[in-house]
Parts: sequence; structure tokens; C-alpha cells
Amino acid sequence: MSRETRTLRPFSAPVVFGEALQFVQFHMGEQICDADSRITIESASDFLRAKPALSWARNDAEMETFRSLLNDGVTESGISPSQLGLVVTAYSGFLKMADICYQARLSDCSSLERLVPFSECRPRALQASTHGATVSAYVALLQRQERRALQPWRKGTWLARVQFRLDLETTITSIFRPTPMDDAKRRELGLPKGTARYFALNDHDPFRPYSDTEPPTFYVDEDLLSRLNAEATSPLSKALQAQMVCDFIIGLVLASNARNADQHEWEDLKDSLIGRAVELVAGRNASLGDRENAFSLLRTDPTTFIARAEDVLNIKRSMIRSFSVSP
Amino acid sequence: MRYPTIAWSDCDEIAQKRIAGDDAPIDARWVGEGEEVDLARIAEAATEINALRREPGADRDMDHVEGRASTKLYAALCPADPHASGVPDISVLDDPGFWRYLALRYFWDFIEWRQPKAFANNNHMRFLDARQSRDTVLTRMYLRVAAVGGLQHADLAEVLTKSADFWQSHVFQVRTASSSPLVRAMTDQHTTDRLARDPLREFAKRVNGMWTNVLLNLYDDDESAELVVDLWRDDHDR
Repeated sequence: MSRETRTLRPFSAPVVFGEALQFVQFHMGEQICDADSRITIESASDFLRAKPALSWARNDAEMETFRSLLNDGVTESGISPSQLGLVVTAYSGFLKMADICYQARLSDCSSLERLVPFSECRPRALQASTHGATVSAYVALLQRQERRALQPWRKGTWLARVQFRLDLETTITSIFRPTPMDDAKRRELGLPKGTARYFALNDHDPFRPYSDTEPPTFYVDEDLLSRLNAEATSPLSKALQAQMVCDFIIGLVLASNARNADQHEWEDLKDSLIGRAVELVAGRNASLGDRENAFSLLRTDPTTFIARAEDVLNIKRSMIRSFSVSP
Repeated sequence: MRYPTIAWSDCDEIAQKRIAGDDAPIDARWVGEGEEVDLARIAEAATEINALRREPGADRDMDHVEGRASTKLYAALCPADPHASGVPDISVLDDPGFWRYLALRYFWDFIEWRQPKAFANNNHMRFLDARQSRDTVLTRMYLRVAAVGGLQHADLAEVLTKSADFWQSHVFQVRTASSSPLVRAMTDQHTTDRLARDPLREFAKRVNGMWTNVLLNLYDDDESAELVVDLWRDDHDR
């Protein structure tokens, strides 16, 4: 009998539940998000227009496998299928909204529809068109069990989970917001007068969910920043802005490696600032493996990680274009 | 829905000027399409909220005043009749630019009164800019009533005294804010059996640990209350 034993979880759970959930996909209109992945929607209006739906499997054959795995998990768990369920939630962090979008008992597994649409009664979190949402699908206990050592017993305990991150075209570049730095601020930070940029991690923990800790600050000299803002669309300003986002990532990489990045697993970092940087470097709609590789690169070869960030941010192109306009 | 927004950099510039004592006009950018958000209702609430800070004793427990203000703000943004015209929808409330506009246009005096040190130390944007909804004064006021479950439970948003740490550290900063029954249970318990700062933090750690493995959003009021009582005090406190 195979069992999942993750260090964070004080009990074991049938691994087949997790295997079943790997078939699940979340749809935002034409865009499809695989289990434990992220999709980026281009604009707020696209986010609101897209019809959300969850599919338990891609086709009827997979649906049969999905049901079969769930049934195997029920047998292995020894818990009544009427006390276990599939639960789907949608959460949006800015307004702290969580909706239970769907709930079904595993005893009703045979009548489960392959596709669950959410467009008729759209969950609130799927209306958060600036900050996006995280949809999670769980196999969870719907009723309290008799308390036994190393066995899940509390109502709501989840035995398997997959997540789908629905982002707007923002990610790390939206988090990057320069803060003006004048002489007084430079003195306060212990910086010399000629400092133009400075990354301050503050109390932010780059490995924890971004919204859980104080954000880092990226200081930019106030005169420079005001020139950048005044000519925001000029090629030079665009090149400098792109470079500053890259500088922000460099600061983040340095800070994270100083904090023992190698002690963390990608699985636990998805909503963190480091997770956003890894997402950026891995590329839009990257697979889970691509993200794990990018995180591995950050830990083992940070300079190459930064070079790949430069590539994604089109630094070369924006720098060359900045020379193309006559002064 | 059409609504006004202010860019972060414009907000900072206006705020800097105001703090320096200069006048600074607000040049909002209207975004969206269709019906306009009803700002008159918000302006009325702002008048009442700005008056709260002048009540006798208001300075002694600013957080308690903020709780009362929260109900007024929430009622203006999410009135009992959700079909009333001009009620901002979720996509509007999710836009930090909208909150920055409200802060500068209607609630400056209240926010400045609420965060005097930050305004004196050039740290004002944290409480104005809606980058972090748990920090910014208006968003955290909205969240406070939303977290207890809306206007029908608004009394709970006002009941606690000197409770800034309770709301900011143990509700808004963690997943707990997304479960109204749990927040109601915690508020009830803290009202009847108030914990000092450190035991409250220990309790919050136990709740946060629970979130790691348990989907507490499935809990109703009774189940949440039972859980909170169970976790409220460490074994050696009982």
C-alpha cells in the first residue's frame, strides 16, 4: 500500500487521491491551467470576460481513471465515501475572499460531471480582476472522524490538494514599485550620497506568501525617479525601468541566497516573492518541472538565473532602442 | 463600472505636498465602462467618519474609533441593498487605485489622525496606497467588517477595545480573514475571555498551524466556536 508522507503533515493519506487530482484543470475561457500551475490573463477585462470552469479530467477515459483512483483512495483510507468529498475553493488575497465553489461527496462520485462551470454564479474571488485568484481542489474530510493517532480526523482536513493560480499580467513587475530616495533617506539607510538605487528587504520573508509579510522596498533617487516618470514612455526611460526591475530581482536573489534558499522546496514557495521571480524566469505557462528547474538555478547558479531574467525582461532590446532616438 | 483611480506616484506626490502644507489638486483617472460608482454615499460616510475623531476620548483608543468608522465605510461601499445603484463591484474594490482616490478625496483627515507617526516620519504611503490591504487604513477598515461577515455582524467589528494587533496580526495578515465564522468566534472569545498579547499570539499560531492542514472555510459558526475554545489557551493555561 503506497502512502504519502510529507514532513508538514502529521498524518498519512492515500497517495492515489493526489494522483487523481493531477487530472484536474482549471479553465478561464480558452486558457487552461494545469494542476499546480499558473496562467496569466492579459487584462482585467479579459479576466472578467473569461468563463471560469473546472474539469476533473480531459476526456471520458480520463474521467473513468479519475473516478477509479478516488475509489481506490476511499478503500485505502478506510473512511466512508459519504464522509469524504471533493471541495473546490477560490481565494483572492487582497480582499481576503474565499468561496467554497463546489462540494460533492465521494459517495456520489459516479454521477460527477466532468466539467463544473462557474460562470452562472461567478465566485467573488473570480471577480478580483486586479489581484487574480487561487483556485484549489481538495479531497477532504467532510465530517469529523474518531480521533486516532497519525490519522486525519478533523472535519476539513485535506488529504490531497492541487492549486491553480490565475494571475493578471502583473506578477513581479507589479510588485516592483520604486520608492523615492532623497538625501535624508540615504542618510537614514547609511548610504553614500551618490547611491541611485537600493534594495531593502525590510522584514519581508521572500520565502513566505508575498501578502503575509511587509513588502521589500526598492529605492530610487527622487530626481531620477521624477525624470523617469515625466518621460515614462521614452525609450531611455523604458530601458532604465526594465533594468530597475532586473535590479530588483538581483537584490531579491542576493537576499534569498543569503537566507539559505537551498533549505526550501519549490512546492512551498509558489505564492512568495521568490516564487514570482522564479515564475518570471521560467516563462509564462511554464510546467511545474520548468519552475522547479528555474528555482534550482536560482540556488545553484544565481548569475545565470539573473541572465535569464534579463532575457525575459527584454533588457537587451530596450537598451539598444534607447540609443535609437536622437537627443 | 466606471470609477476614479489615482496612480501610486500621483498619490505620493499629492500626499507629500499636503503634508508640507501645500494644496494639491486630485487629478483622477476614470477607468472602466458603464454605470458610475456612487461617490455621494461615500462622501456622506466620510463626513461622519471624519467627525468621529473629534469625539471626546477618541484619541485614547483610536482602534476602537476605527472599528466604528469601519461599519460606516462598509455600509457606504456595500449597502444592505446590493442592487442599489452605483454600488462598487468587486473588481472596483480590488483596484488599489480606487482606494487611493478615496483616501485622498474623502478620508485624508481621518487617516492622518489615525496614523500620526507615519505621517510625521514620511511613512504615510503604507497607510494610503493600498499595496497591502491589511495596512492601508481604508482597506483594513473594509476588511474588518467583511471579515466578520458584513453589516449584519458589524457589531463585532466595533466590540473590541484596543485591538489593533488582534485585527492586523491575527486576522488580516493570515488566512483567518477569509473565514467569517472563525473571525466571529475569535472576536466573541476575545470579548469574553480576553488574552494578553503573548498568549493571543500563541493562540494565533495554533490557528495558523490548523490552516496548514485543515480547510477551515468549511466550518460553520458552531464548529468554529468549538475550535476556538479548544485552541484558545495552551494546556498549561487551562
